Amino acid sequence: MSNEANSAAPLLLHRLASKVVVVTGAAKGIGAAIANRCVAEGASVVLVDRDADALEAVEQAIQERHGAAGPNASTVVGDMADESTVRNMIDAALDTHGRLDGLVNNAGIFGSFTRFEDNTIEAFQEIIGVNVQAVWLAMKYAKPAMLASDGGGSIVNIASMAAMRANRQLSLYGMTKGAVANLTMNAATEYAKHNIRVNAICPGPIDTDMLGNVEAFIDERHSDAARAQIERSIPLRRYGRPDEIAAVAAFLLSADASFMTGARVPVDGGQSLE
Amino acid sequence: MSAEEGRLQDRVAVITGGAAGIGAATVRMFVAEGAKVVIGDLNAEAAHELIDELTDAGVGDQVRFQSVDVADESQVIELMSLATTDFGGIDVVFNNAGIGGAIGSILELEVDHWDQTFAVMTRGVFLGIKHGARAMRASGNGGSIINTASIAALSGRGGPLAYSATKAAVVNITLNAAVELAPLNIRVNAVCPGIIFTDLMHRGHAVEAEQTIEKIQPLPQRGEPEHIASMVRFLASDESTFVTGTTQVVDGGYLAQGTLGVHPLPGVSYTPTYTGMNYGTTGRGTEINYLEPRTNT
Repeated sequence: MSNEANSAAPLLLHRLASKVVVVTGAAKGIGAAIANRCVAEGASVVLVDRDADALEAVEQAIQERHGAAGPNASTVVGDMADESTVRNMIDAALDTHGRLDGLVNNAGIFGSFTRFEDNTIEAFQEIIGVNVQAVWLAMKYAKPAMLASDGGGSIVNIASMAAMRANRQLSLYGMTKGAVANLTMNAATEYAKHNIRVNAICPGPIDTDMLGNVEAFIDERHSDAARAQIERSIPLRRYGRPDEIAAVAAFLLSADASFMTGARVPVDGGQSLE
Repeated sequence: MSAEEGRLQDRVAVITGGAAGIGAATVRMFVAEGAKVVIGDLNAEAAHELIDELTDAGVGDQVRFQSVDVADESQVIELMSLATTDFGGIDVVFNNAGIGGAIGSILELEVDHWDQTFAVMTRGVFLGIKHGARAMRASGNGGSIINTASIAALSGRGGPLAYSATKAAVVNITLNAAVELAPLNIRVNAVCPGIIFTDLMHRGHAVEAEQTIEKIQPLPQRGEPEHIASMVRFLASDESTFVTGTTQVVDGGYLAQGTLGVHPLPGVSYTPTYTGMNYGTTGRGTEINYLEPRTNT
């Protein structure tokens, strides 16, 4: 009889047993939460990030928690804008874990806070490289790997509510997330006959380091005030937690969502409604 | 029954239209997850069959049935009262009851059929939210309300005119109720099923329906009531605590492919040559009046 916002319910689910899932941007925030959730549900994971130390810490924590008998975790360190990183992570799934069932394209950057007309070509290329090209390439390379593993697959792209609206001084970020939402629909349509499902999650404000940058940007001296301002804009009157995105990702990765493909799922505490 | 706790252990859910199709699949899934469920439906016979099935499975004490016309406020109040008196409160309301509604040519549609369609589909959802949320407010524990909309709400020609219009209204009711009820920690979301293989959908033409689905839907498997039930379970559970005001499309990729993905079928007329009323699974069936002699079957 409870629906408490902050009660971390004991995890009862084991929907990803013997699955292998690649999670990009897994060193921190939402990516780390998704990786932990996948492992808790029985999956082995390939963790990908450019921050080698933070990634190692996530891997260590997983190994300590689950031991040698539990699911495996391995790491690939690299920049998502490099094609080799994308290749390496798909190869790692097959070579180290023997198959590929799930892919979570979570790695992303905000870029810089810049007025529309002040953005440079370099900034444009940089944000496209990480937020769009890597997502597209990963889906491209995941398909043959998933087909080789039999049984279809599930791809989850972390887009953003920024895909659906204008984002003052973050125009390039919003553009890339709109691209991810559209790539999701197209991959979903073309991969459906292979039973590879492709869906996107559109998070609203989630309590992570990345959003801390936004608060500081809104008001450098009064980041608490900026946070309160954002919270007031959310009907549930709070930020989301990374584990609340991870729960939705696990649902989409699992057979519970076996008829869902091409969907873009908002997880924003109702912020987009007003 | 396993010793493990279910995802909806001891939650109390009211499910309208729970006797058949998507509703019945959700009742079964909720009961299996440890929930206590009050089924509201006009079709008492189908409801009793479902309760007999659950009783045989040893979980009959987790379900109740109340005959309800969701368009009638006093009956909805009675339905909610049964949940609070027998099970001690309400955590989840699934406003799922629906009918096919007024069908046929817009030039001939009867106002009475139009109004009946809106009464069941929109007044019913409004009343389910109103009285479900009152019970949730009384408990102080928040809750989750899920409304059945449809891909017909989001596209033209996704369903009959009146039906589609009511479902579009359900999507908007969901948005507004989510904002208004958020301070009570009551989440409100809508589910938009795509083509789901039920009697209501194929109306006795199962084989032809399956062949058509294969042509127009990206995912190869046909939609089953359980596909929707698992989304409802997700929205009812603590897995979705930051999800409110959303419209969840569960359609095998039908809408994602866009209009170019759908090839018109030869021989299918886009101009209805009939008018009538589809009463869904209420037991009244479908009344069809053909406007001109039928040339092919």
